[in-house]
Amino acid sequence: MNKRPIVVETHALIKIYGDGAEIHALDGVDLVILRGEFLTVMGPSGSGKSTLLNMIGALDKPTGGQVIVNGEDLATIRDVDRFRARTVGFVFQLHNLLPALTARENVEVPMHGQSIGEREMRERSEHLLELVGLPDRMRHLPSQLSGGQRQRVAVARALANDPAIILADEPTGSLDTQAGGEIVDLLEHINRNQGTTILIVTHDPKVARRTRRILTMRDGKIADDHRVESPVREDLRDLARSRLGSMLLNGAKDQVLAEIGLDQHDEETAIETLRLLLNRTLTDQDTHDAQ
Amino acid sequence: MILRNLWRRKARSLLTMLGIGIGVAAVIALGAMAEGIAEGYAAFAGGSGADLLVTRSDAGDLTLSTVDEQVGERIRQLADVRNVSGVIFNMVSLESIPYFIIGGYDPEAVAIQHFKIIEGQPLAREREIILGRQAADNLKLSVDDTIKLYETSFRIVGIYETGQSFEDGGAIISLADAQAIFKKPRQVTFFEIQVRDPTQLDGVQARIEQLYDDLSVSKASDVGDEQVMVESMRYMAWGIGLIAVLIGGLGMMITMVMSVFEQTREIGVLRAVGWRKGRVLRLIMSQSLVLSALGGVLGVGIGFGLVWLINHTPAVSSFAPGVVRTPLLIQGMSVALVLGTVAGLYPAWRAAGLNPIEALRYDGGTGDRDESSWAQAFGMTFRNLLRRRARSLMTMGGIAIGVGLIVSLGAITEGVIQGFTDMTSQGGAELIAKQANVADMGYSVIEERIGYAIAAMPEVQDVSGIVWGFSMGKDAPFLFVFGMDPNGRAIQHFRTVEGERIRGRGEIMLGRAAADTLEKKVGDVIRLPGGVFRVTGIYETGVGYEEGGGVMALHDAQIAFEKPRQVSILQIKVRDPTQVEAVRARIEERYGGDVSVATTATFIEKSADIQNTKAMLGAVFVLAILVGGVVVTNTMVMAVMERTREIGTLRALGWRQSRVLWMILAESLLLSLIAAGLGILVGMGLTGGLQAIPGVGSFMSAVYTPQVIAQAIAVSLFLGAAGGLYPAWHASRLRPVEALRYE
Ligand SMILES: Nc1ncnc2c1ncn2[C@@H]1O[C@H](COP(=O)(O)OP(=O)(O)OP(=O)(O)O)[C@@H](O)[C@H]1O
Ligand SMILES: [Mg+2]
Repeated sequence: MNKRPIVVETHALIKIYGDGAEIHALDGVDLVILRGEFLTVMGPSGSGKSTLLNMIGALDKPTGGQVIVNGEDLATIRDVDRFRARTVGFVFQLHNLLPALTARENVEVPMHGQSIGEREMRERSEHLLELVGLPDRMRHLPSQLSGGQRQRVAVARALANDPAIILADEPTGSLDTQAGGEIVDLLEHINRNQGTTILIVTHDPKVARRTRRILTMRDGKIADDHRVESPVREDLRDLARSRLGSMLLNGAKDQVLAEIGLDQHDEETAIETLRLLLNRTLTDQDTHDAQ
Repeated sequence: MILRNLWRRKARSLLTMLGIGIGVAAVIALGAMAEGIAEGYAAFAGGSGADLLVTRSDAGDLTLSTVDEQVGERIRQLADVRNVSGVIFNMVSLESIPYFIIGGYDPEAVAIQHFKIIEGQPLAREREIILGRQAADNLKLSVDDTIKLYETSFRIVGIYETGQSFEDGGAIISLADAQAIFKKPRQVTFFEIQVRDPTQLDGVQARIEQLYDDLSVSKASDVGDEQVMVESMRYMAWGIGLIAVLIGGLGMMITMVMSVFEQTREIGVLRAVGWRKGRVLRLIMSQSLVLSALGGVLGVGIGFGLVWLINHTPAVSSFAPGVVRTPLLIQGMSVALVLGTVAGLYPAWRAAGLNPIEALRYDGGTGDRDESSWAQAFGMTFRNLLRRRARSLMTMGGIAIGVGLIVSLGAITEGVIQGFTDMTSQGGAELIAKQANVADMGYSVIEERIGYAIAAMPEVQDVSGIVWGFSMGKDAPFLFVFGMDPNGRAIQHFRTVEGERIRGRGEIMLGRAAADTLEKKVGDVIRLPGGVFRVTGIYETGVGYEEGGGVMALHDAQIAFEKPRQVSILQIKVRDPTQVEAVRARIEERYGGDVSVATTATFIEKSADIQNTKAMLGAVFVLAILVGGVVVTNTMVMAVMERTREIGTLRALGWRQSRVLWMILAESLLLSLIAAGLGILVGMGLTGGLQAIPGVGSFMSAVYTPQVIAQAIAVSLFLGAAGGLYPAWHASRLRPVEALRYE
């Protein structure tokens, strides 16, 4: 059981807008995000999703409560700009690329002022654009890219300084299903391969289902914090609960073979593997619940 | 809807209005000054109830006119003439008031009764003076004090008030005193004539004109308008106003184009819901007109403020009091409205021509069109400017016009200074003497005997007296004439390239440029006031002033300009060139009451004429900076507004405030730097254009000193910095969350 470090932690986070008719955009949010998590925030319009994201990204100051990112309390942080540049990476609904700059220059924007050499900047931006699948679009301007490609550049830009967490506010909101799916693929790929923590705000349940934790907000509060297993895991657990599963777990190989109508001895190792897998699934589940 | 649209962009609308307002204000303030001079002249000439005014026809300005006293005697004998008063009208330079108006009247004359005494006694005898109310206040003098005019002391016996600020800012002395101090023995500036019967006015006028073909007779009420000075003031008012208006107009056009860009989507909706093109056109035009009308009103307000300021500055108000007349206000407002129309036309046409479908799809716009790939060779600053090509160009145009004007005027002024310096140092003279305390070089008069006395000093090698002036005759409307001793040293400087030098009277040699414009060859005759002259030669000296004029014998010039036994300046050559300063001091010590002496190098710079030109240059400077600054600020404010989201993104990505500030400032500076280059070219073009005007051009040899160029660049950069500062500051202060939410 490996206890992963905490990336984001909020305590009783409150954000109130307006002085007359006050709007409680955030009304006491307690949240913990661990390193490597891939999670979504859902909820009706106006429930405070973007506000929460802005607080975590130090774009705005909370009215009350505490935000700790990467061990730093944002209330006492000295250099907010450096924090924004280095610790978090933003992906917006509209790509918000600078129209006058090429794709590569756009990726380099967060590296400016962070004492990174010209050469390293170039290498990093090229590498990142390759990572997001645009190795041949480096010198293109945003106006010469498709919507999906622009959003890929935005993702590469978010990764520019290897941030602790990527905050994506409806990154697929202005894309069609296919392009949107590709962006989620990309984010998932980055999460899996680079281990980058990623938080996505979305209205799309299909997007949410691809992640392993879904926060649902309502009226400035976290109404539900639901962990989903990966689809395979889910299926395995169903299997474990079924009659076939219990037969497998009990080691009644012959019965299993009979059940599925096979009798070759060759299948024995396969069945043994399956049994181990099911076993592990169940133990994993227990540790999660205990946490 | 129109007002609300303008209100939506308060800062921008305000800046645009200010741009127009300053232009209109300039038109009004300068126009009011011209009007004030015109009225002042008219009042002086006709305020005492005179019907007709007799002046010399070739005098460019009333103050330069000279008429023999005998003429008055003759006119007095004409039937229908009730009375004739000879008047001297001139100016002296006092310490605090560069142009102090002096009238010389016969204390017995009817005309002097016009100056109503409110304190003390009326003028009764020589060495007495009566001051205008305003003059007394400005000079802080009262009855029984004394005042010195050209070394002559006058006792103040009374204070008068006529209600005319031009008159109330001056003083009156006796005619005899005036003739003495202005060195016009037995001469007057003009005669005021009252006729017995007003219906006989035209008859009397015709008869006098028949008697003297070198005199002009005008109705007193027209005199103000006929003055060259008033004319040129009016032109200048229009000229400077036009420039300001042009720059302001560009700013206005930028605003309207931008607001069409911004409203593209809205316009799409309007078209989609069935608005006709004409209606869209009208919408944009109305916005433009409302803006310009408001700007005009603002300008009228500022104009009134400026006039008030002028009238409270003694140095200016005693000579050019501001008088605001209704036509001037109408002019100002119509300038503003014409501007609104012209500036609104293109954007309105563009808006009306929008395709509704495309307009609806418009996403806020990344730029005029796709970026060209060559632009990528440049930095981000340059590319950002390129994104709004039309706007950047218009802004640069605005700055370039202002800078161009500064370059052109600066270069011409330098040219004048250099030309005059070359001219006055003809033949290697080190010192120049002009009349002491003279208001303007054109008025300088020195008695010849002073020249002889200086020449007799042992330290002095040689003295040449020169008479100069503008000769305005039939053959040559505007010829600069030098009168010199044909056997003197100074004339050696004029090397003839055709024919030969003048030997004596009745002869003239012309500069190359003058000969070309007048189409005269060696051997031709030329008719000028003072006689008919034979052209003996054509010279080239390389000095614009000289080549645009002519040289005649000193005696001829003295007669032509009515300066018997007098000269305009003295050129002095000293024996020991290392002793120039000592000699200068000695001459001033001995003859300081009559002449002031300067080295040839500093003479012109110190002269009132150049000081005035420089003051005007300063005014253009300030105007260009004001209007230009407003236009740059406007552009950059817009650039920041439409890029609010972009700036929000940059801040979200960790860009520091200082970085954002610098980004906007850099754009502004680059813009103005390019504009400086453009402006220098515009200035050179402008000068070239002015020089191409026949007759005038020869006096405008432009000299582009490094200072002139440096000034232009400095002004531009200042505009860039000043104009960029507020928007840059604003941009850096944008809160990222709000900037990102901005639509
Ligand atoms: N700058 C602001 N000033 C005033 N109220 C604000 C501001 N920003 C957000 N709000 C209010 O705070 C509440 C939460 O806004 P938020 O943008 O976080 O919602 P959201 O969950 O992101 O909604 P959506 O799904 O529509 O993006 C809303 O009621 C909104 O009106
Ligand atoms: Mg939101």
